[in-house]
Amino acid sequence: MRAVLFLSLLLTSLCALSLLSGPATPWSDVAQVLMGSVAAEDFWVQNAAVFELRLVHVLLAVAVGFALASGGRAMQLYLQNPLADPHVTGLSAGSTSAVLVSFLFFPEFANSYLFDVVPSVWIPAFLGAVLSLVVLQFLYRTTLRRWGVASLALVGLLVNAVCAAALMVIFARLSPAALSQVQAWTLGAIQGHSLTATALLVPLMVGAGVQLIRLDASLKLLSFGAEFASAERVDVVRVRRILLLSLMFLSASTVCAAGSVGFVGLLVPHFTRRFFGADALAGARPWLNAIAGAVLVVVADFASRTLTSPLELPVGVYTALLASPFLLLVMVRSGVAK
Amino acid sequence: MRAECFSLSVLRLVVLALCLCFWGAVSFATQPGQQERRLVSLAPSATEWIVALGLEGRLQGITEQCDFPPHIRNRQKVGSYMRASFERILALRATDVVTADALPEILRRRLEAAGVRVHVFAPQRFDDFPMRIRELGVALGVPQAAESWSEKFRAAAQLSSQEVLKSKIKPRRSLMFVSVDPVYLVGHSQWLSDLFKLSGFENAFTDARARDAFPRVSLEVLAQIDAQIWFGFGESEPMKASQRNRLLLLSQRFSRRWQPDIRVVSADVFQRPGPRLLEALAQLRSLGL
Repeated sequence: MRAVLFLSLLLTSLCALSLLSGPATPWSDVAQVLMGSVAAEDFWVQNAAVFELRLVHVLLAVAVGFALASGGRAMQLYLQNPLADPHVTGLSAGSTSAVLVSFLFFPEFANSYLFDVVPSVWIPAFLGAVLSLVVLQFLYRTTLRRWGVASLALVGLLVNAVCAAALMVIFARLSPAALSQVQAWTLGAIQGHSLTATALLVPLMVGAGVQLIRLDASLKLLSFGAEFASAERVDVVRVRRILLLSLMFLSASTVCAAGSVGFVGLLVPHFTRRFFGADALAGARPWLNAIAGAVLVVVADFASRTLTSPLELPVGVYTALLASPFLLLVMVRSGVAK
Repeated sequence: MRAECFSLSVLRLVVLALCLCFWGAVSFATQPGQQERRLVSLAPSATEWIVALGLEGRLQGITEQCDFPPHIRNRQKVGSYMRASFERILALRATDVVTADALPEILRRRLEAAGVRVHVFAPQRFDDFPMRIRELGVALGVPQAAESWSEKFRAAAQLSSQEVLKSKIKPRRSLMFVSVDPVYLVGHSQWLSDLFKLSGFENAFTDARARDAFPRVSLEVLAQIDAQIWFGFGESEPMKASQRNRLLLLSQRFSRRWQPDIRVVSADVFQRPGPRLLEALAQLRSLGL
């Protein structure tokens, strides 16, 4: 429980840091307000627009990290594969491909807003995820008996491969101007949505993440085999259905929020396992994992907004940069232990 | 015996002469400069320059993005702007390839090894245009046509500068959005920024750290830039309307600070370093003065 408290405090502090500091208002300005040399009210009114932008970034970063880390843990448990993450299913790739298809064939639509609030590309993003889920579900059911749970990874690999090929075709055909837009969707970048649009997306991501956390105990039992889980009164079919539906919502909403952000779902479960013990935290582990995911993406987002300012690099670049050395460390230590 | 030696020497001379003739004929035929030029364009702006320089008849292949002048669209395609096919270029027996960006090294080497000359037309600043046009014209064997275009660019730039000076209007601070979400702006050290400056619009994004042609900027940084006009680019009328709406919505998020005037212009006229930039300059002059 202490670990959950510690990570929650860390996350809160990082969110406050991310909200207060940035290229537009350096720390010196904030310090002046705190010391009382600048009127706090004037400061907040002057910077209201900037704080709103930061709030959107922080909310989306927390939700994306929370959802992806939960998805990563669920997939690693279900597939019994330490290399699994939510992208393994191909749902994110399907969603991203559908967005890019809309940029290629319906550029006017892709560049418009619904009710001046919701970007129209959210529709193809969700449709792409639904279509991928239908294909995934059909192939998974067909191959489940032969390959077991591993068939989900194999079918996901297939969906990912088809989507990757589609992306290549789309990249080759897009105009240079459209390519700059599309890059944000494939590299993973927190989009500058309005507060209203953010308020629509965040519950979807957090909801999907919480649903996956609730499945944690059932997925653990399932990892011993479907028969064993059934004997322990787990409704296997229902769990699988909820898992895939949650992953579908998670993939579509994270793609809408930040494109395809890599490494979070893969790395964070290893991180929590490594640094917060194994069995002592059994009940709190999925929450710990989700909060750690949020911490990683908030740090990556803060780095992307400040380190190279005035330029902004995609957040996916920083999640990869932060994650790779840690993953290497885990691999080396595991090697030494053996 | 002597006669036999003589006839053998004559025979040797004849064979040597034949070999020399054959070698000469072959080397003459494979020398790109000597045969009729067959051009392939790998960029929309390159296509526009080839047509403007009067070489339309020699243009064998274009990319999928090459759409101006409209009648050029039915030419053979050699791939896309990003990925051109080496085989297709060779199949068209191209002698010269014209592009607007540096080609991937592997493609450039293969083309050069196959005897195809590669010409890159990529001016960095607007002042570079007259010289680069002249260089392209000389490389393609049409120096006079190039000289004429070079002079047109030089004169148009001079005229614009003079008009701006005469008008005594303070340059209007502007931002040029290549893309709205995410925000990509036109960098200050780019020919497109110079084009706006010549017409009385000052690029408000002047951060010296951003040296890219089109830097990606965070909304937070954007919120700090005071600009009177925001320029967007759209390929078609519906796209222009869509871009206008996106810019309007974006500007409303910073409405407590200022409300910029929003203008959307043709992407293909303004963003391609082609001959239609003179048209773009005239359009901007009418807006700026």
